[in-house]
Amino acid sequence: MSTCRTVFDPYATFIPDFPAFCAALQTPRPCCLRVNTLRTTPEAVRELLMQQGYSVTPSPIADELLLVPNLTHPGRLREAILGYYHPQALTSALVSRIVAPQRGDLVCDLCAAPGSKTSHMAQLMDNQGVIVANEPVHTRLAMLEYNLKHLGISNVVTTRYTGQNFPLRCKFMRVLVDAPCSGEGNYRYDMQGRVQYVRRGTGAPDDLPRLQKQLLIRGFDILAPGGSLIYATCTYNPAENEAVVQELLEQRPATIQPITLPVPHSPGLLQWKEYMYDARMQHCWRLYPHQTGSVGFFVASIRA
Amino acid sequence: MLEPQRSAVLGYFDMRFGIPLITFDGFCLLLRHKTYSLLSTTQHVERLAGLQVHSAGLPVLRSIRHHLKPTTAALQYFGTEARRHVLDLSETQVVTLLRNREQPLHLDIQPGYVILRHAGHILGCGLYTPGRLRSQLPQHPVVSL
Repeated sequence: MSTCRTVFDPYATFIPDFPAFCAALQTPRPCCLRVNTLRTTPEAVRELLMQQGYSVTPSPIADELLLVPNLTHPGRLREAILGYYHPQALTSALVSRIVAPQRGDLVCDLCAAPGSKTSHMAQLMDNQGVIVANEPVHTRLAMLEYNLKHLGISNVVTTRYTGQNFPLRCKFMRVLVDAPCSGEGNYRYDMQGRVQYVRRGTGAPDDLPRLQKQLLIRGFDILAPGGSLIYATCTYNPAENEAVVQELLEQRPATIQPITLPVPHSPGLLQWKEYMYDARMQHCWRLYPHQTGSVGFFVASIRA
Repeated sequence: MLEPQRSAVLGYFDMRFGIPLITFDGFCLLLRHKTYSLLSTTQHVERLAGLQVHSAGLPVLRSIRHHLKPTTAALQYFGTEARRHVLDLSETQVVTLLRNREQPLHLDIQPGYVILRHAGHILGCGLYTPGRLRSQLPQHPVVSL
């Protein structure tokens, strides 16, 4: 039987405090709710949940995020019907905060389903401006549209292009490429001690990095001059992270900009195995479960 | 959508629920596949013209045969402005409605769509016919109120 040590042993050289990382994966991830501030307030949701016996603490990352460790089925409460919150990992919500869309912006979410980050960005934009939420897979697009409707999002237009072929004629101030990935950041044991992780991919070992590179380059190509592009994955694999950003830096006049949020993180890698990466990769963020108490993530903030 | 048609469609909310037309200022009304949606007014419309759009904005009304049906999403969004046909349900009524999708109910109101409310929170859309209330809420695995 595989354990997190054997699964992540190839990464032991770069994950800081590897034993603590493995220990963090043995504990269930605490429930995090993103309050839908288009409908209600964090204080109101906090009060409603506390009345039902849940312990609620605000997240240090953003006011709209609440941590509810003893809530196991957040989708089953009345507040879920009301669209007052959306269950979302802390680090996933952090990505939209890094995109930092403004009211009135024109934003593209190139790989949008199931819509957690899209709806969060809409919320940050106060339902103003426009987000083009793209998703090529019909079933996932339906999920995206359901979530947008449920949360009362009125500033999103959905499209169904393959992301790497998204039309070049429309340029955006901000683009999010939350790329399909192997999802290693979700590896975790649940309360019953079962591993909650299914490796994602479509076959060949390099299928995801190839697709990710195509998506990131297309994301850059649809940026308006001076626009910003966020690349995110929920995986630790450098082949899906730094190597993808490296390809962009070699193919396009892109630059990586520092991310300035008060969140514990590790810098992007400058080397892995025989591969060397651009020095600017240090501005990327690696988010580990033992540092954040949430899902593992990689984020790069890129400027045209 | 041109103003006369816009007013005719959105006037449904005024006629049935007393939600004034002014509530919808700041939105463009769009029609696609018998569903009316409201998209936040934007200066970017021309830039989006080159895209093949699958859906846009918040679905608010569906055209069903010869009448309009409001969506739960629309009523949750705009329902706080409603002045009539809002039903305040008890906890027992909500649980029954969610479980059975309908329940016997006798009210002195005009049959039609109603806004379902519980403890001051708008749940969404219901359909009242004489002697019966039917849930129009999306199926949801609710176990706790």
